[in-house]
Amino acid sequence: MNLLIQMAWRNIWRSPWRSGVVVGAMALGVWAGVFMMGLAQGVNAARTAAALDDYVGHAQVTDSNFVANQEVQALLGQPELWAAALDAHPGVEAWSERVVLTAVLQAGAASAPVQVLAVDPERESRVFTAPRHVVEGRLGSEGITLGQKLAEQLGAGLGDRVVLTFQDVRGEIHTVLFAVEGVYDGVSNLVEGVQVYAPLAALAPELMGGDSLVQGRGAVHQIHFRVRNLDSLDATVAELRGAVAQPGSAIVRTWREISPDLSYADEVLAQSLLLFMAVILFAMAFGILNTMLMAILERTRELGMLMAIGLTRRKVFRLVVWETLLLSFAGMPLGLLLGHVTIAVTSRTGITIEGVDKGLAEFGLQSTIYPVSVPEYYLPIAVLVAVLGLLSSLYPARKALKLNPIESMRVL
Amino acid sequence: MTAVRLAWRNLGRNRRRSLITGAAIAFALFFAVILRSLQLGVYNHMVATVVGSMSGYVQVSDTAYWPSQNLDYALYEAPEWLDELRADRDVASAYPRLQGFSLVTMGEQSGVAQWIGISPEEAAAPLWQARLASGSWTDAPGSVWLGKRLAEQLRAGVGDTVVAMGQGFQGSMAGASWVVAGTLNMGNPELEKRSAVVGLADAQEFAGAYGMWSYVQVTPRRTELSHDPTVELGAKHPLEGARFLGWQTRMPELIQAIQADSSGGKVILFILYVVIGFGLLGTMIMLANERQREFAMQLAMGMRRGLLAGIVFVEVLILSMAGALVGALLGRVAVLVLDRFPLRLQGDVAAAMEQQGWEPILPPSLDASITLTHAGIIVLIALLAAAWPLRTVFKTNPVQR
Amino acid sequence: MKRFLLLGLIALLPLTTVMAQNPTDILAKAEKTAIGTSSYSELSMTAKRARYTRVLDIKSWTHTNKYALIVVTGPERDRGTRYLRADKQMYSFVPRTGKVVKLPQSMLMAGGFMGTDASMDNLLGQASLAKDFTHQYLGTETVNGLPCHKIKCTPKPGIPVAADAVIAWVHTGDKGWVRLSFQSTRNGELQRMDALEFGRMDGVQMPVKLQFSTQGGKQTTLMTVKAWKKQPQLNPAWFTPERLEQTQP
Repeated sequence: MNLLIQMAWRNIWRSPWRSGVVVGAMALGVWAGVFMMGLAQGVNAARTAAALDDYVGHAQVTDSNFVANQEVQALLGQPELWAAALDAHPGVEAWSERVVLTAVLQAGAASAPVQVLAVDPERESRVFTAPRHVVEGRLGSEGITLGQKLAEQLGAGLGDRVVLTFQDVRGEIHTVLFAVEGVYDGVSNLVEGVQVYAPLAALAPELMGGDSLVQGRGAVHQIHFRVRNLDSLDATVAELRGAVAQPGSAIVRTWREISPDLSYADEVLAQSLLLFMAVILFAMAFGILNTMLMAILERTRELGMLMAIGLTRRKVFRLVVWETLLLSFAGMPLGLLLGHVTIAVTSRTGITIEGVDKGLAEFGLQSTIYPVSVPEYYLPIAVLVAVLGLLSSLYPARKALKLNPIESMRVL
Repeated sequence: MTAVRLAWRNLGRNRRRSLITGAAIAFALFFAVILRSLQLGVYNHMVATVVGSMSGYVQVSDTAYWPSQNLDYALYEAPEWLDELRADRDVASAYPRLQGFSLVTMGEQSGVAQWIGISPEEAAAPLWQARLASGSWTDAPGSVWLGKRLAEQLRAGVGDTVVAMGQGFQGSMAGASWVVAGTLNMGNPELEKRSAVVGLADAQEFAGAYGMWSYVQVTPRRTELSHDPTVELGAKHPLEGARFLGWQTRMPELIQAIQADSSGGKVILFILYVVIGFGLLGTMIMLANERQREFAMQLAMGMRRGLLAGIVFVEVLILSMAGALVGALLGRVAVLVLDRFPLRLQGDVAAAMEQQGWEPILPPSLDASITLTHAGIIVLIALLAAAWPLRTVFKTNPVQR
Repeated sequence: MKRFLLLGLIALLPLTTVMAQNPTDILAKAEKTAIGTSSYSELSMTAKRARYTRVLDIKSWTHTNKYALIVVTGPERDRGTRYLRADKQMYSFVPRTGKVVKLPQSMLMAGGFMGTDASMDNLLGQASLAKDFTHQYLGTETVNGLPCHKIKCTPKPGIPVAADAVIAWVHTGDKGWVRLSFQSTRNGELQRMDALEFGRMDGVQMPVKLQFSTQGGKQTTLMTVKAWKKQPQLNPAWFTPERLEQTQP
């Protein structure tokens, strides 16, 4: 055995070009796998993070009826108890109350149906990044903040008068005047076109129809919160669920429940990626197989000679397999290293895809992708590649077996 | 000519070597075709799910209809033109529709819905038949089929009467009582929340848009992404005052999303090509190594280097063509098999997607242009890789060995 | 359908013959006589659009600017369609459905009133030009052949009016408003109302032909007052969904 490995080792060095090609193919395959995974993880992570930060949030407390039909009457019961529970929990980083209304927004002679998120701008910006995307003015503490698309559609800009018309909890119609205090650049045109921010302090009393008992902070549809560590979200949520003694129809939902499609998207991408990866690795294996086959052809004479001097067919078979494996094991770490370095570099610089910003925005992404290093995939990739390397050595080795020692001695 | 004859003879003389090289090229193309077909197939599937059934691949509407989609900009019915359009071999189906928005109420519950008047032929198409969540399709006038979630919101079931009212055609008032004949899975929660499907005649009566269509939804025979028949159809079947609009124009964000994702797909494709290129280069290097002795001998016998290089080049050219042909055939067969038995997504995702009306499959694109494009690329790569044996020809010393 | 106030506006139009000295008084006098008036009217509205012209005939009962019952009498297809506004509730009745439907707020987002441009309150809401605006007297000007006081009205803080300013032309005599122009600083004139003809109905001087225009006159609605009567007996309790159901065109 040792002798065979030694022979294989010497053979590798005897033909540096051939070895270089096989090592290169391996390294490339592995690099491709690592980089692709890193890229995809980067895309996924960016999309999920962007969605959570921008509009989904980590988790929320809301009334189950509000989830079902978004009716304005489905207010969250005992919001002050929930607020206290959130304040008391060490895992919660920040929380923000929201009133969510459908309304008609009128600017000049134009009007549009909108979804109003009435928020405390200061609290909101601790839970969501959306306030950071305000491109003109600021997230209003007195005025309204429109999406760019809607502002354009209505011909409205900073300082303009707009009127919100909506129904309060009793079904009565209210009209409230606001000035446009900010314009934000939303996650997508869809969001920009319908979602507007309004100050909670100004809208909540109107919403309650002037009912003195439940004015002010009493009117809340959702409390969104952000946890310090996303990995322990489930535990935090579980503890919060027990934090209010009689929650009634109030529920605590994580982002996976709020936006299930977000996790599906990850999953679909991961699965199709696996498929593409398989195709690439198979292509790599075929490349190696062909190269080795050619190599056997080239070495017909040499192998024939070895057989003629008494090397058994079994041993010739093993020799070829060992050669291929040794080459693979040289290529694999090289590929892993290359992949790691590529990701390390690009994760800092980012990969910018030109000309598709809008489409990426539709995905909730910036046009620059930052791959994420994926050490957890190194072992599976290594194993997969080793197995494929072994498999792609078998056929050439078998071909080598079938050589007729005498015939192979003949020249040409 | 000599080069071609000699190349052909060389290929025949060492069949095994030719086979290996040809196989390398064939497999390279095979993998490229499968990968790209799957990538593009996902987009086709997405487009088919998003636009194919609802707004349609191509819409024929009044020139002013888009983007407001205002009911006021309806078309006059043109049955003869429609027949002519339907008779076109490139048209799979063409259905006129009338649609708009209205308030739908039952008792205390109400919701804003998009009502869509569809023709009896369209209702009879398998697509709508398959969408039925409860109830049945009927020709009875005054029937409505509500999106599943809208029905839930209204707490309406089959047999209940809902009242629809709103703005009708060109300022008239729209109002009607409709009997719920069924509820629909629309493949999208948003659509299910706000769709009310009625018969075309009922819709015209409701809106006061007698003899009018909002648009004609056209599904072309070929729906691949690379093939947009909108302009061609528009030129062949002009309709006065109307224009043909493809989904690409109507939904720029969808095409953008596809392009963005596709750029990721192109990175993957590029990686595949690098891997394939390397494999081919490996085969070529081995080919050159193996034949170095032969080259040397031929040069020693007085063959001009130029002719020898020409022979090798033609050999590679023939091999890549043959390999590409085989690879294209193999790829086509694989794609057809994958189309027949599509890869299915696994796990919770599949169930969740199914619930949303998405078939959880990864179907390949049947677009033949994929094979052509990539055959071209692979032949090019093979010829580039052939630079190695050519280099060997020019570097080989006739006396050595 | 919030555009009902348009009808309230008709009621606002009569102006006392007593001319006030300053712009605020001019407007206040006008509104003082108007608010609180209950009336019955028959109107014909002609909406002109790029693609079509539509004539709508209605009759209506109004009480202040918060209560209105409107019945469509023509065209034939829409005959019998009725709307009720009772303070903050709105109902509708469509004869083909035979049902009274309470309108949710989302119905407010539809275009002008029943396909017309008569949506003055869309811009003015429940605001009063006299009380909720500050005034600037800009001199006299002849509009539609009538000498007018030109007054610029700027909404006071917090008044839910989407226009940045309203310019009112009030007849120097007793005819009242001749033109109202709703202005936006960014987009110029948003909408305009012109009183084209004046007459005397049930002993009250009022404009009998009005034109509403938007988009710089690209869309117009001409409104003709065919009949108008005082109805002092009307009160909020009269405006019920039952009344809506029973009132015939």
